[in-house]
Amino acid sequence: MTAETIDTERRTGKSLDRTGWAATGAGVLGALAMTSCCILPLVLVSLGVTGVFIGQLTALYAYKWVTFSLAAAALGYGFWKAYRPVPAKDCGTGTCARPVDRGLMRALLWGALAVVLLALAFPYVAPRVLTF
Amino acid sequence: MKHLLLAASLGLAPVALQAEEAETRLHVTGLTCPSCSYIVATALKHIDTVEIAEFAEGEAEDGLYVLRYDDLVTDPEALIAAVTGVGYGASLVSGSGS
Repeated sequence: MTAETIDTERRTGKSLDRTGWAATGAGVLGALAMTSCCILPLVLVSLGVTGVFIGQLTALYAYKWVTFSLAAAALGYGFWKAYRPVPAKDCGTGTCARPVDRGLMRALLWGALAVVLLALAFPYVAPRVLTF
Repeated sequence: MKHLLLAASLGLAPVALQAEEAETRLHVTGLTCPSCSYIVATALKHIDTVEIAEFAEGEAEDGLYVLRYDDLVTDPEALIAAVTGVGYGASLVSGSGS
């Protein structure tokens, strides 16, 4: 990667990838929302945190598929933005204007995907792992 | 000196005898998620001497906890407070408690 390429990325990246970063942010928030029931409350109580909000967080379990749908849509769009081929029109001058920090975006998306999958598997794994 | 030790041990004896294991059955409501029963159990186990002898899941997002504890250390009201403190409903099942 030449200095000219990096410079082009810096100049064009922000306008190109705003939606990609928005999708990544939404995917990460969706993943956190999925842990709000039931992993997060369990971790908080294990650490000695108490409060009526714990029970209110777990009531969000009823909306699990809503949060999953939103997270999946955001992650899907984010992955498409992070892994899509560079458009040919951005390589006209011989330097390709690739979105900046795609590595960070990909890391966040994979992390969020892992959390979403963990949250989905939790109800089936919990009885085998947790004891009274 | 011997008499003093004897008197002291006799004085402590009633306290030692009074400390015994109590059992309480607690009906908990609002167990709407897969981890809820574990969250309530964790909150209960944060109380000294409390052990969960048994848990039976109900069909209406509720459950029955059979708890054993030292009645000198805690009481059923403290158990209920621990459960309500994390946002779930709790009541003593009639015929239980110390």
